Amino acid sequence: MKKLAFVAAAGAVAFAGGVQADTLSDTIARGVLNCGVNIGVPGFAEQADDGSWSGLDVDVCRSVGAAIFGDADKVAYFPVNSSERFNKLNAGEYDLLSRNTTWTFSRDVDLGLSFQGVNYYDGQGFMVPTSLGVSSAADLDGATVCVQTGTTTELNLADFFADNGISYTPYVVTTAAETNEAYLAGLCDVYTTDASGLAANRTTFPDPSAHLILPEIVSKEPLGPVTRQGDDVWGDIVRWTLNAMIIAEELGITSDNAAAMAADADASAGVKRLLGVEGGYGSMLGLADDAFLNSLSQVGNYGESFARNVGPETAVGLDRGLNALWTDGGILYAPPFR
Amino acid sequence: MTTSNMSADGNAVSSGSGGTRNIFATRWLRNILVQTFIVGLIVFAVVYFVNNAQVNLLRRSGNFGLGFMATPGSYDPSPFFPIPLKNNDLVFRFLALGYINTIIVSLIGIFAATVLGFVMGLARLSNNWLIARAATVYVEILRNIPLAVWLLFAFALALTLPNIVASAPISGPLGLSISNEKIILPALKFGDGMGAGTWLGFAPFDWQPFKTVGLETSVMGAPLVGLLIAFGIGAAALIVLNRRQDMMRAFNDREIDTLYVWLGLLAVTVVVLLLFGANMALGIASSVVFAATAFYILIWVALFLAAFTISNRIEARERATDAPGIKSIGIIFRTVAGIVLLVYALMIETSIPPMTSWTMFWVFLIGLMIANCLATLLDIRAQDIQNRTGERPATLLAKAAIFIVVVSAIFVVLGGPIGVSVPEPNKFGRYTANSGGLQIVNGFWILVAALAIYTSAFIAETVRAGIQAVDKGQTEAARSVGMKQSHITNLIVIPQALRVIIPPLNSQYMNLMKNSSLAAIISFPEITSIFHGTILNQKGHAIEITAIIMLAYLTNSLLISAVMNTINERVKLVER
Repeated sequence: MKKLAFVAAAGAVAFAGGVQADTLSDTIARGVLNCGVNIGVPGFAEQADDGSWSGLDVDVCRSVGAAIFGDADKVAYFPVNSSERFNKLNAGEYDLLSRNTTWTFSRDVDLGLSFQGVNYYDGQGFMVPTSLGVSSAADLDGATVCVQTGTTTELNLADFFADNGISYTPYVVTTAAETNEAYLAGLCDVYTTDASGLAANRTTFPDPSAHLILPEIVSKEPLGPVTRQGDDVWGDIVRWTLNAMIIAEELGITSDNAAAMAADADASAGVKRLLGVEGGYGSMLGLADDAFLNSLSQVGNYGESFARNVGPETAVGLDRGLNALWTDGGILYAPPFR
Repeated sequence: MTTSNMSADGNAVSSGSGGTRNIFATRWLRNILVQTFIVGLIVFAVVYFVNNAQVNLLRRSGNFGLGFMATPGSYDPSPFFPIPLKNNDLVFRFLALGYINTIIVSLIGIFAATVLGFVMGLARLSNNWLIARAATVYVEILRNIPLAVWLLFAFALALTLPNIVASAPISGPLGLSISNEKIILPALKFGDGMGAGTWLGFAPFDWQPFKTVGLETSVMGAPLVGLLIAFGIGAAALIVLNRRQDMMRAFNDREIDTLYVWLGLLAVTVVVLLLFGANMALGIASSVVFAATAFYILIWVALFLAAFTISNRIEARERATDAPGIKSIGIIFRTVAGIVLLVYALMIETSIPPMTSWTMFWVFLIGLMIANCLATLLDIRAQDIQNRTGERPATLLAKAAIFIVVVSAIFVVLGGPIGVSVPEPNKFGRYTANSGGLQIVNGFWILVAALAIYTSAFIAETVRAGIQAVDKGQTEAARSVGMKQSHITNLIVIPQALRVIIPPLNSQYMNLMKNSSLAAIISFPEITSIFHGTILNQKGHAIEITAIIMLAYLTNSLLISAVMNTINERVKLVER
């Protein structure tokens, strides 16, 4: 009887221990945001020699860090490859995954993940050496294609060639760096990944002009930050931090003028709500009211982040394209902040 | 947390027993209590972890179960499999082919590591200063650097080889080329050549089981897998039958009834047919493949019977003459296993030829085995003569003649169905699965070579230890009766050293098999990279997939152990 009681007690304690605590309190208690990022894609997530991180995806981590702690540098980065990113998120190694991850049905539903918006609308493309003499993906019949494993890219690749009735030989590798290596060593004729990734990786090649990105875009790849399913409060924080970056661009709030606009009594109601001057929206999320003032003044709005990391002035050299605001002919559209 | 409470529970039981010392002092009751407690602990742990997984997975709305195994794999893996694998194949097939790759790599690696390890182990004990030191350097360098580093190093080195498209590869005659992608060789191609399948206007193989040309290549491998299964089960059945016969002989000196043999082989046939019946029901194999498989299995049944009969005859002879044994079964199975594995290895990256070609190939293989049996009989005769007269007649030429006659006869009957497939590049200047020839991807040979060479360093030390464990007096005694050095090594030292060598060799083999999972870092697809890497990432189900992977490696380890234990039984000191 005594034994049974002990077993029952042990079981109860163990089960109680399994209950998930809420991510925000854990993060605040830890004093730093744990963020999973790419091991290295120029413009999206790259680490400088001094150890600091920068990039479009990194800016999402920094914004969330600034919104929670008032300091964009209170972020611990966890570089992770494509095949282990979801496991580590679900295992709690980090609480936010901002690593050019495509939002798909099966990931959202079957893998137990929650996508919190889109920070880059991408599409899968093909890159070939100009010496191959190919100008369209339709000419790729029989080609060998380098592709990174565990990505939607490899699923789209199979679909694209099957749909068009042309054959190909896949060459499957584990990391983006290995894909670069294999492509440059000539193990394959074609490099396929998201068009942004192709442009980004091309900047690292010895001779970028010797490589051509084919015009065909064969898939929709909405890339965005991901959290674990089941913690809606945490999801809201990430989603609205990203939305705040987009809305700030609409409202003309930049890192330079954010503080001034918050202090400006004549600012529009929308600006005041976003910067926490009125409405108390920050505290509704369990954050400080000036959460987004902090994130915007330290990291900037979406347009700034884009121009700084991947825009036409950078080595990656991407146009805004689909990622322009809806008012500028793009599809970037955040729900109203009210 | 759980553990500490559990141990408190354990204390509670023992301290509570103080009051009723009489009862608890009884050994059987104490044993039962302790065992019940331990079993309860294990059951509780299992129930807890399964429940924990289910509860937490439900919370994350992940669905726990094996349903994903019957969904399509959805992506195209690198075509480095013995049988084509496409995106619309089921996940189960991805698992199976990844597992097959693991087994191929492990078996070839184990074989090569053993040969290398023995050579290096002997070299370390050589009286030649240079050879001994060279072997020492070999062992020390290899075993002091992790295998993963070797793999990356070798792969990076291979990448510096000339590229097949951009620059001229290192090339030889008939399309041989070595590049940073793969080694390409011309290959023998069965079914091609002059008048394949017809001879004097008569097509001896123009009947139903062979009329399967035109089937999709994706089902072509099914009969081969069937053969391998039949081979495995048949070999196991034969071993069991042999054991049983030994037992019966020990008890009442009676030969085993051939009925048992037939029953065993019938069981093999039924099991394999059932397997393929199930495959057919699942739509994996067609009825034609089924028929062809049945036919192949009949051939194998006949073959096993022949092997068994011959081995019986040899054993009877051995007992009658009290001569050292000719390990007939060993010879036959070594040959078959060697050839099957070789073929399997060669099939990596080569396209599967049409079914008729395989048929002819197997006919050739069977011919070779018949020749081997005849050659073994020749050996028995030679042994007889040696026992009677003391002079062993030369058999080499006769054996060679047997092989040449049998093979030529089959060659003529089939209409000379062997051609050479010279690989042709495609329009991008690259060799793919359709290019013909024999193509060995760098990832494959680098993995096998790295595993074999790395493990051989450890085996070399095991071999050296084993040999040094043989008393010096044994060698001296052998030398004093005038044996030559090769006889001393092969007949006196090695057989005794094997007793020491075999048990640690077992764990080296298991290490090699498990280390094959490092293939992922050089992008060679085997069970870990295919299943635990990509499929896990595409489909989720981490717990199920990890459990299956563990099961696969456990199975392999147990199989290796079983084989090594059997060998150990053979070589260990016979106690009378």
